Parts: sequence; structure tokens; C-alpha cells
Amino acid sequence: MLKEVFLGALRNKDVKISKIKDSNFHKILAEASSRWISYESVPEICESAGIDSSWNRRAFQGLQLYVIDAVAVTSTNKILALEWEEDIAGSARSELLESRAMVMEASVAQKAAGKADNICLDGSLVSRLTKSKPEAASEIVKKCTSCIFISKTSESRLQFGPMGSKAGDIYYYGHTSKEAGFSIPVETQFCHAPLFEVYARLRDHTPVIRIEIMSNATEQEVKSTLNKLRYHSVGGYPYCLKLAHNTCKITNEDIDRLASIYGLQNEQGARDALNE
Amino acid sequence: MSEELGILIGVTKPDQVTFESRRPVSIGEYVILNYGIDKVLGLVEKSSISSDALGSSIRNYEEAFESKHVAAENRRDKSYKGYIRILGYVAELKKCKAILPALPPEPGTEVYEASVKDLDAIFAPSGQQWVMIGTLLRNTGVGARVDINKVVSRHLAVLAMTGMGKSNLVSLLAKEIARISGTMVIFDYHDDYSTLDMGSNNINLLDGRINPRLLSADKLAEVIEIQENASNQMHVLRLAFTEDVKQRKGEDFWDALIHAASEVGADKLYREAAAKVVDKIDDARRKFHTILDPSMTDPLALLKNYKINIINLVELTERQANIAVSFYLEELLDDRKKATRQNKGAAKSQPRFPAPILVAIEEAHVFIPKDEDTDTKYFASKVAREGRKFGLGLVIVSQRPRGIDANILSQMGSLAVMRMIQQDDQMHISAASEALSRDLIDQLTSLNPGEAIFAGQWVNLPTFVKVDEVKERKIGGDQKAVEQWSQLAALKQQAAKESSESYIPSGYIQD
Ligand SMILES: Nc1ncnc2c1ncn2[C@@H]1O[C@H](COP(=O)(O)OP(=O)(O)OP(=O)(O)O)[C@@H](O)[C@H]1O
Ligand SMILES: [Mg+2]
Repeated sequence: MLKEVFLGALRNKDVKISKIKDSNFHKILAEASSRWISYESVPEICESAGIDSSWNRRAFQGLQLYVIDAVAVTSTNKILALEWEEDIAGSARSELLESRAMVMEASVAQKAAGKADNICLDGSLVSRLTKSKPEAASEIVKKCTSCIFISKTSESRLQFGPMGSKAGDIYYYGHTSKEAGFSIPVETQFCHAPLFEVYARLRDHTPVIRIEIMSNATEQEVKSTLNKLRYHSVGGYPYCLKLAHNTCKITNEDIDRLASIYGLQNEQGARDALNE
Repeated sequence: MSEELGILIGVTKPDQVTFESRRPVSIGEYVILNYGIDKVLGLVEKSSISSDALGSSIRNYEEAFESKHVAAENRRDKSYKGYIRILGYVAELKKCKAILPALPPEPGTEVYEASVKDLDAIFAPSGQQWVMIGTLLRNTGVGARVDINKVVSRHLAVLAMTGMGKSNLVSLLAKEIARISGTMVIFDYHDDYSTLDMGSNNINLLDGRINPRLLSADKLAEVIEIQENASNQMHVLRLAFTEDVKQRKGEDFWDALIHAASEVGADKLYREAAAKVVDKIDDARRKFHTILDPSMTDPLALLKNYKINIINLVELTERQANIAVSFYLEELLDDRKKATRQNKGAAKSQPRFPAPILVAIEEAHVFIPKDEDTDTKYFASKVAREGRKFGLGLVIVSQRPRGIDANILSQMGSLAVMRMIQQDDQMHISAASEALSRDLIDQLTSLNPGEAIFAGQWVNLPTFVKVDEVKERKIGGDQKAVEQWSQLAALKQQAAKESSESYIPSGYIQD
């Protein structure tokens, strides 16, 4: 990058930051603070499972070799369910692969249901399904009713958008304090089902995570959920999700190996595989 | 076949492979792989354990603490990796030949623990010349033997920091050689060996003594401590030390030498020097009367065949010791030459030593120093070069390898190296001997007392050995000052009590 960019950033950082941290910022912080319930979770021994999916593809002269997989794995590395799909096709658009992956996760979630005390999915149901067709989305929602969705980052402005917030809600909760606790659950609707949104910090000084709960969520129920998540969490994040991510991740190397099985590795082609 | 230990992964090379193990592996462990035409032996040179959860992405203690718990419950969390150096076909190693398969093994090849039977055949072969020295360091169920024939014919260097077990190893060799009725001569500079107890009468202890009559004038000057640059005194001694004087025995010799020296002083030019020489002779005669013995018969006659001859040099100065050692080396080499010629039917007189001898020199950096020419160095280098032909083996022992003459060090066909942390010591050894690879030298700092790397001709393979401790050796261990002081203090207190009791009048009642 041009070094001028850095120099410019150094010169203008105060102006740029003050655009976000305007007077409104402090108002929102105060609001976030008033919605925050201080709570130090108590680890509750349980079996948590994480669900994640991954996809990757490689193009070969107009052909697409693609793979999608999804897994449900406990924090002790017990695999509860898995699914995958791989094929060579004329086209494999990323939106298609993305939505197929989501369907697969839902299906894995359904298979894993009842096999663990706590089933977590990576990301946000809402943001992952906003582009889907309503019928498809509600099909997925049905399969995931007993799951909770956890994301490390979020753009949701559900709570402070009306106050004219510039950043996502998670940003303000992250800045109110550094202590463990959670925000008062906020109920919304998604695909005609109730959905509760909670921001939480499992331990002091860990990052805030966003939690979506698809069943009724009282304060007491949130506390119990946090206690379960706290057990086998690392750095304020459930370890089962990290394991799930690592287990299903499809690397470029993986897709190259697969290409080699199909004898495609010597073909010339646009190398547009995505993951690292 | 023993238990499967792991599977080769990654890129394999003909001499180096990596494997994923089912358990942590220790450095120095031996493993067997099946490929090429037969069983192949490998040595674990590096070992690592990693954890998925406890990876390098951990940012703080809290995360580490939490990850520790999740790692403990995840059976697939740990990776145990071993890095193997391929040593060669087992069958060939038994014959002391390291032959590597030309092709690297395929990834996926299974790795097995080496069985005691395989290892025994390589590290503890049968045959009388193979004597037991200890066990393999990491496979203590396997004995470690060394080839004594190779020690005698190709020499040995025992090198380590002080207190790491050099003298212990030499004692052990001596014990084993005594057991097979061999002949050995040990020059004992620190009285390390006089307490060596071998049960039977296998030991011949003698004090290092010098017969001044058998010396050259220059060497005599050295032993009576005439300065090298005192040329007038040297001149006086040379003139005084006549053939006639050399014929006198016992006290008569000293008297005659003094007389002759004073006579040289009749020349005004040398009066002062002669007076000094007479003083020096007188001094030496008194001070060194246990060492300088003009009535001594041939010193070689005191050494005994088929025994461990321990020559005590404790009371000798460095120069005297040097002269004594060089004297013995020269005579022994001559005698062994004679014996060898006699076997060919060409000798005139009877040799004293009809069979090969092993000579051990402690403090080799003193007697065979790097940048100084000593008498011992001259003859030691002769023995190092010619000993093979005449059956005179040399064991040099030192805690300062960098101080030893590189030429002689390079002639030592076998090495026993224990803990050594000084870089320049390590460099000196690796420069002088190809028997010890850089990788092995890097391991030297991690050894404990009594642990050694054996390399060179006396073993089939470079080997990590736990040397047996010779329990009978009493001296050589560190003195325990505090213990001894408190013992002494206790004794003194008791004595004080006793003596004060004697002042107390009888009938006096203490309350
Ligand atoms: N093989 C062994 N097993 C256990 N202990 C040993 C072994 N070898 C030596 N030691 C211990 O180390 C001490 C010193 O050993 P030794 O006298 O052989 O060392 P050294 O290297 O000759 O030392 P120096 O340089 O002072 O001559 C011994 O008293 C003994 O306690
Ligand atoms: Mg010693």
C-alpha cells in the first residue's frame, strides 16, 4: 500500500473517529449501559456441540469443482453428525453454495438435536437467511428451533438503529464496560417465529458475542444458557464452535487434492479458490 | 513384531523421516521401519508435542487456562511427532556397516519400537572382545558393549567436563580388562584409582618413581628443577653427569654427582653456577627422596603382565610426571616392538610384555598439550601412530579437550564423550574426529553425570550410553564439606565436654 495512506490516517484519525464518537455516541452508550445486566456466569458441566459448514470451489476451463460440508461436533471432539456434497458442474455460484451450506447445517442440526445439551451454530440466522426465499428460510428455521446462534461480530442495528447509531449494536455493548454480563433480551420475529437477541460477555474482558435464541428467553433462561456456554469456552467463545470450524474447513489444499483425484490438477484454469 | 508406534508423514528422505506417534517419544529412542529389502533401524533425534487447542494463537493466560481444560478432554487434541534419523539396515549394522536403503520410505510406512533382541544384536554383540559398559540411555533394557580389541588397536579418548564420570569409565574398562586377564597401565595423577577394588589380586599399585641414573642430563636438570634458561648451571650438570657417576648406585650416586659438580666449579667461570647446582641436587635429594630413586632397578620390571598397573603420580611435579610418563611410554613401545619382532622370530632378547597393553593417561591436556612440545607428547604421538601394529593402545582422558594436541586427538579411533558445555571444546572435538556428527555434539549439553555418547570404532553405531557406576571407587566423588564440618564439630564438642568434665571436682553435683 502507499505509505501516504498511513500518513493520512495518522493526520485525520481524530476527525474520523469523532464522526462515530459524536454526542449521539455517548447517548447510545448510556442507553446500552442501562440495558446491560452484570452477570458472572458459573460454568455448568454439560455437553455442547458446535455446528459449522464450509465450502470451496475451483474453476477448470468452464467447469467448477465444488465441495460443501457441514459437521456437528462436541467440545470433546465427538462427531454427532456430518454431511457433504461435492461435484463437478458447469456453474457453481457462490450464493448458491452459501445457501446450500446453510441448508446442510440445518439438516446436521436436526440430526444432532437431542444428542447434546447445547447446540450452537456459527453466525446469525437472520443475516444468513435474509436473502433466501421465504419458504426455504422457514424450512430451515423449523429445523433449528432448539439451537442457538452465536456470532463474534454483527452488523445488526435492531436496538440502536432508531437512535441514529452509526455502528452495529455489538460495538456499543462492547464499549459500555468490560465486565461479564448480558443485554436485556430483545424479542423480534423471524419467519413468523419469535427470536430473541442477546449480547453477552462470558467473562470479564473477553469480547462481546451476539446470541440468537429461537425459543422464549427470560433473564433466568439466558443465565442458564450462558452458564452452559461458559463451560468449555476459550477466550469468551465456545470451543465447540472453533472445533467445528477447524473440522469442516475446506482449504485450497483440500480442493487441490480432490482435483488431483479427478485428474484435474494439470488443467489450466482460473485459480479462484477462496479459503486460505 | 513389537507394538506399532506410529506412521510416517510428510516428506520422507532417505536419511530423515517424520512420524506421527501414538505416544510421546523420547530423544534417543530406537525404532524399526520395514522397507527396502529388510528391517531398517532409526533413531529419534527430535520429538515434539503440540495441541490443537493450545496452539500459538493463545493470547493470554486466561485463554491458555481455559484451553488446557478443553484440550484435556479432547482425545484428538494432541499431536506427538518424532523426527527419525535412518541409521541403516539392521542386518548390516550388526556387522558394523551402515547401509541405507537408496529409496526413502513411503509416507504411511509403519514405525515400530525396536525390540530388545534387535538392539542387543547391534549394541551388545556376543564375543569375548565385547565387554559390558552399561545400558543404552533410553532403552535401559538393552546392554551397551564395547569392542576392547578396537580400543587397544585404535585408541580411545574419554572427554568430558570435570565430575561427569571419566575416571569412572576408565575404572570400569580396567575392571572388565582385569576380568579377561588383560594388561593395563594407568597413570594416576589425582589418586583416583588407588581405592579401586577388584576383589582378586588383579591390581598392581605402584608409586611413580624416577631413576635419575637412567635420565639424560637435560631431563635430570628438569627433575631437579634447574631453570631451562640457566645455561651455566645446565653446563655444569652436563659435565658432572658422567658415565662414571651414572654407574654409582643408591646414595653413592648423589654423593658422586655432588662431588663431580663441585669439581666443575673449580673453573672460576662456573664457580657460582656449580654452587647453585650442588644446592639444587642437595634439595632434590631431600625433597624428592621418595620419587628420585637411584637404586631403583628397571622401572618396567615393576609393571606386571595380566594386571591393572596403577602408577601413582600424585607426589610428582608436573615436569617430573611428564618425564615419568614419557619414560614408560618409550619403554613400553620398545618392549612391544621387541615382542612383535620376536613373534616373527627376529628378536634378540626376551620382551617383558608378550601380549598387548592398554595405557591410560589422565589429564591428557597437561601431558599432551596443544601448543607445547613435551616428552610425553612426542611418545604419545608415536604410540598413537604405531601402537596398532605393536599392540599398545592409548586411552587419553581430559576435561579440557581444547587443550589437547589436535593431531593426537585425531588419531583416537574411538570416543567416549560426556557432558560438555564449552563451545570451543566441542569444536575442537568435532574438528579432530569425524566419528561424532554435529547433531550428536549438540546433545552433549543435555547429558547427566555417567551418561555418554560412544562413537567410533569400538561401537557398531554412535550410541547414547548410561555407564555403569563402579561402586568400589571411593575417591573421585565430590567432597561433602558441610557434612564433614558438622561431623568434626560434633566430635570437637564431645571432646570439649569430656575435657571440662575433668575439671569438675568429684562429688560435685550438677543441677
Ligand atoms: N556412570 C555413573 N553413574 C552414576 N554416577 C556416576 C557415574 N560416573 C560418575 N558418577 C558420579 O560422578 C562422580 C565423579 O565421577 P568421576 O570421578 O569419574 O568424574 P571425572 O570426570 O573423572 O572427574 P574429574 O574431571 O574430576 O576427574 C562420581 O563420584 C560419581 O558419584
Ligand atoms: Mg577423574
